[in-house]
Amino acid sequence: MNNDQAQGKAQAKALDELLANPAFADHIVLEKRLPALPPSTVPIPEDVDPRLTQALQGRGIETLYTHQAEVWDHVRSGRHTVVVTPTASGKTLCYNLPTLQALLEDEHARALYLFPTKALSQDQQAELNELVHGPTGMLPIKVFTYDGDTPESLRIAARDTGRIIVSNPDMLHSGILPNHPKWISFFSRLKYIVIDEAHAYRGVFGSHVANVLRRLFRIAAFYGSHPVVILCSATIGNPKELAESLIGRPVELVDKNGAPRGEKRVVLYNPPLVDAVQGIRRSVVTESRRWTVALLKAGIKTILFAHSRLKTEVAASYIREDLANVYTDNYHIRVEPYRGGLLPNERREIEKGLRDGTIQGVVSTNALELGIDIGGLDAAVVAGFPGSFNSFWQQIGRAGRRGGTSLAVFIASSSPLDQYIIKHPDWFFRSSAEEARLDPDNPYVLTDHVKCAAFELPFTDSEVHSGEDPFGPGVQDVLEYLQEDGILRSVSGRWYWADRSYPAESISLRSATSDNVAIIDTTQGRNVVIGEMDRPSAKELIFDNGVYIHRGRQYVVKKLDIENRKCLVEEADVNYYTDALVKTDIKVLSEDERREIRGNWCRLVLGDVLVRSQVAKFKKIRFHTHENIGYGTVELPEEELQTRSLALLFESDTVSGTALQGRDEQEIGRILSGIGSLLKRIAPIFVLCDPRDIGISERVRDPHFMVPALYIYDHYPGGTGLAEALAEKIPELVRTVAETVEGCPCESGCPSCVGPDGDKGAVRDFLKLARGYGGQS
Amino acid sequence: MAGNLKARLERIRSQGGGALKPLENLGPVQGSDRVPSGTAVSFPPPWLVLDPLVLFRRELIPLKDENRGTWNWDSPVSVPPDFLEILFRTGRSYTEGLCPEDLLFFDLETTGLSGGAGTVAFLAAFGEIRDSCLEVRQYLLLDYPGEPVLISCIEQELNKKPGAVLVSYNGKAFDTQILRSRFILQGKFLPDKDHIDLLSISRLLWRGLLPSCSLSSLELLILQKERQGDIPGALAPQIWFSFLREGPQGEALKDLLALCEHNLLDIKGLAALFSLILSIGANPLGALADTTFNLDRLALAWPESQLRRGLLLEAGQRGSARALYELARLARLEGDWERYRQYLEEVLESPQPKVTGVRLRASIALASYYEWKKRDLERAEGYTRRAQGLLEALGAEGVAEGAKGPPPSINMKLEKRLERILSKSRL
Repeated sequence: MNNDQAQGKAQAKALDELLANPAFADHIVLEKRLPALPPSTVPIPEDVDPRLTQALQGRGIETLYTHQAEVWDHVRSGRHTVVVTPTASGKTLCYNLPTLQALLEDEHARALYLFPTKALSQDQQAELNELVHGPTGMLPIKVFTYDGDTPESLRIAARDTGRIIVSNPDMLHSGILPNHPKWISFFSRLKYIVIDEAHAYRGVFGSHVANVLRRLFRIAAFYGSHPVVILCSATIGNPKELAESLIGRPVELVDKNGAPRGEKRVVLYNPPLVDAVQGIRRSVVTESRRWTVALLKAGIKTILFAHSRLKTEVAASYIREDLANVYTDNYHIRVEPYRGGLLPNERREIEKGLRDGTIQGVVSTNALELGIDIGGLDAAVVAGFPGSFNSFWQQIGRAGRRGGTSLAVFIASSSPLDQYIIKHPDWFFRSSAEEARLDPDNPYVLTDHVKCAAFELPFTDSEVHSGEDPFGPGVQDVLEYLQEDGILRSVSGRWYWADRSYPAESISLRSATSDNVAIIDTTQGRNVVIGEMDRPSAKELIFDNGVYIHRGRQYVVKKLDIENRKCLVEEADVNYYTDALVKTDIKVLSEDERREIRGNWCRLVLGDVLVRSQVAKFKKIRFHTHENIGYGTVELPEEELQTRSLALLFESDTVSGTALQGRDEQEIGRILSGIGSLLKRIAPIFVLCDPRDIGISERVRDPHFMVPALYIYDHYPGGTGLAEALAEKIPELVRTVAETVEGCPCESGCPSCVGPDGDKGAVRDFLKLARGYGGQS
Repeated sequence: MAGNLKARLERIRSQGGGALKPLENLGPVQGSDRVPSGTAVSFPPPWLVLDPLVLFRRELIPLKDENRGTWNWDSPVSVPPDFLEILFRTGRSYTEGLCPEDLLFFDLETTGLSGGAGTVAFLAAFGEIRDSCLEVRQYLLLDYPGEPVLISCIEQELNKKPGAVLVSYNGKAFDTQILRSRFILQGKFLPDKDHIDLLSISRLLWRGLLPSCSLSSLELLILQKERQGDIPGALAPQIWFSFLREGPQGEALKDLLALCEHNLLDIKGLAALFSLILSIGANPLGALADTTFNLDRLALAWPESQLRRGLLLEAGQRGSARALYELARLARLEGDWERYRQYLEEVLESPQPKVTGVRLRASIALASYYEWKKRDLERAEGYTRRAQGLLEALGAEGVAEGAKGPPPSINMKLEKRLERILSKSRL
């Protein structure tokens, strides 16, 4: 038995012992073994260039998985293709094979590879380089990364001689497309565009990227190219739809995975009730910490997904405390927190430590979910539902090296969603998950990109009207609008950019409106930037006197200077963290669509609203006990947001309206707020979104509609298709909410249903009538 | 696309939302589909109509009074090839010299400062020396659809003489990039020409002596020519956009004509600056009588020769630490240790400001010299300590200016040196 196998056996034994330990075993709701799967292969196609075949053999590849061969067929026939792949299924070869082949067949052909982040592109480029610089000699293909870090001296070489350019949408948007004449050799021979991690392009970011791609297609067509697009996506409910929204053209779907899979043990764990009457369970933070420490001490390398920046820092602090032992140097176990907001070099350091084994445990937000190579871990602990099943499987996919058994532990939090799914564990193993959503025609996003596009190439009336232009005939409205503003000039059937500015400069792809606040450590006269945050989040997280945690250290905010985009913090040592209370006010701007729903439970209205939100107070919550130990006040200007919303109207002739009859205003308020917060927290299993994407606001007597109403709105200006998507799912959502409340063991309200201050009785009663709806056809 | 997009955009505008803010003080929008006839004729002579949307003007400027120093436009080049090498910065040698007729001065006015595809050149000026006159030819674009004609005109200008040498100010980084893009967008390629960009030589000659090396600064302070009532070049984009919107009348036309004058004067200034620079290159020591410039930087850039030595000596005599340090280096190469030491000590005594870095290097060199060559440990120690003081000062200067400061390794090396010297002294 060799070293690896011996280690594997020892770990399997440790795992068995751990899972049998009553401290954990008593509350395991489900343990499922996903058996190892053998591969499904076909021989390497005959038309593959022998140099390429040799390079593959040099890396130990003698056959292709079936999905890789399917992609080859589609792409070689000139069809845009999206391949759906879980982690470690050879997806890079899906696109590398046809691309390198085409580049070998035509010595002038070029390809563009796009990744959502710089880190990912640098990672994947390394893989590509291994193929190109194979052990049997080099393929004549120059690969260049072209992003913000590329030094000037390399940029010219990349543009002129780069056969494969590896970049990201941000660089494409602000660096490459606006300077396309410099890229004439590249664009006139562009054959393939590879879009990896396509599921990341949803919501606001996806809406922006879809528009960047529209601009890319315009420019390619100008130089006479019609590239074929290859997309890779993780498992989502609607990969074909997503791909087609993203590139605006029909796409072939390849979703039968031929790769092998190691055995996986999935454990679903529900923390025990501490107070059955009040429905309080042991906190997910405490439980995940127990699991993680136990796994680490058993020598099992573990990643703990803690989901929010705050929770990640808090959990890492707790775990380090538990491992703190001067004599054994903390058991020789090193644990690091990982999240966005860390500076790039800090993140690189942690990634490297994981790969080379000097870091054994990592606590992360969703940031490590995407494909960055961190070697193989043996166990993944997911603390609380990460917002989507897609994310869940990606996260647990982090555990498992080739050939061994890996462990995935899901620990439910007390949130209603978590409690719902832990009671219906089959949700986890359903084959199709949530659907991704984006809205390339969000007016803010669209207008920004039309400006960039006009800067790049004037719009022509004939191409717009004929539908040839990737922006479609509807773009006429935007062009006219921009001309009225004096930014475009229309003359002789064309629309020209008529401003001195450089539009791409002020547009960030990662928010509907740009603006980051820099977080600056000013302890003892220092002046060091330690992180950054988008402006709206800053108002809710790093207000004056708020507690900010960074890499395990605490800071107190001395001053949040929104105007200058700065937040000054000082090191502190307090025993609490802070949580803001946000107030919202809604004004209806338009009613675009009115809908009835099955069973007439309520009416729906889709339209634009103006949301004004204000942070006025915050809670101080003690570490460990999570008690509320006080309040503080905040003085910050209102945040204004124009967006899409779905209003649920409980009109008197609907079922819900009838159910509300005879109740007093306060009770109605409690019912609406209970339902609202449940809807918000459960919606993510139907529609792919971050929990923060949904805003909820209830009105006992709405001033516009004059009836009780519940507004569900998109947190991004202009909307990202979220409100529209939810409109389709209201019946199921309501039914799920009803089931949750009914099935909750608490007496009168708890964090797992309507909240400890909620009115469970009233909500349950109200929903009695709703339980029948939605599921029936 | 949502059918009510227009309505939503309107709402966004009325709420004052986001980045979609209308421009201030917009005049009424000039007709959209066709350019109104009669635009071109509103321009006074000598403007000629080449095309309804492209105008042309030719002006002759006598050069006699533009001469500075010893440079004479009449004669072929008497500028040493070495200097031409510095001017061209391509490492080629220019034994044939440079004829005034080969020069093609040029300058553009554009709609923006970025090199991207949306920046349009709407005014192009070319200058040529002809019989002691500077002939300036300008091409003005009246609206976007005329660009193909403008580009053809520019192409003709560039191809007129195969051996033409372009002369510009910052043209290598900016103007040619813009032209290259505009040409590509018209399906052409920018002809490849030799190019002298006066920005780099100007920086060499005048860095640290002037607050800025912009063409206007140089014109004012070095050429001592003040422009009366000149319109600032930074306004170029909005002047052209206003003209597009309002048409050839009133303020819009007046401003555009004024901009064309400014552009003309830019070519004139370029020629005058070039003439001055050539006169410096022809006889650097002589030119010192009439004009100030960094003799030491010029000397250091000069290819190795007798003249270079002469320039260095003169600069050294005038107290340039850089020149003295270089002279020391040369002395050492020749094995003249006494001179070497002398020069280094002069570096330390030099009154020149802002040369702490050079003084530091000199101090270290002297410490080494005294330790190893002269075996004078006392002096060696003295210079080592002095170097440490200079290093600190350099670090402080750097921090004050927001720079990074010298690498920590120098500090370590100095400490080691000191330790070694002290331990030798004790023996």
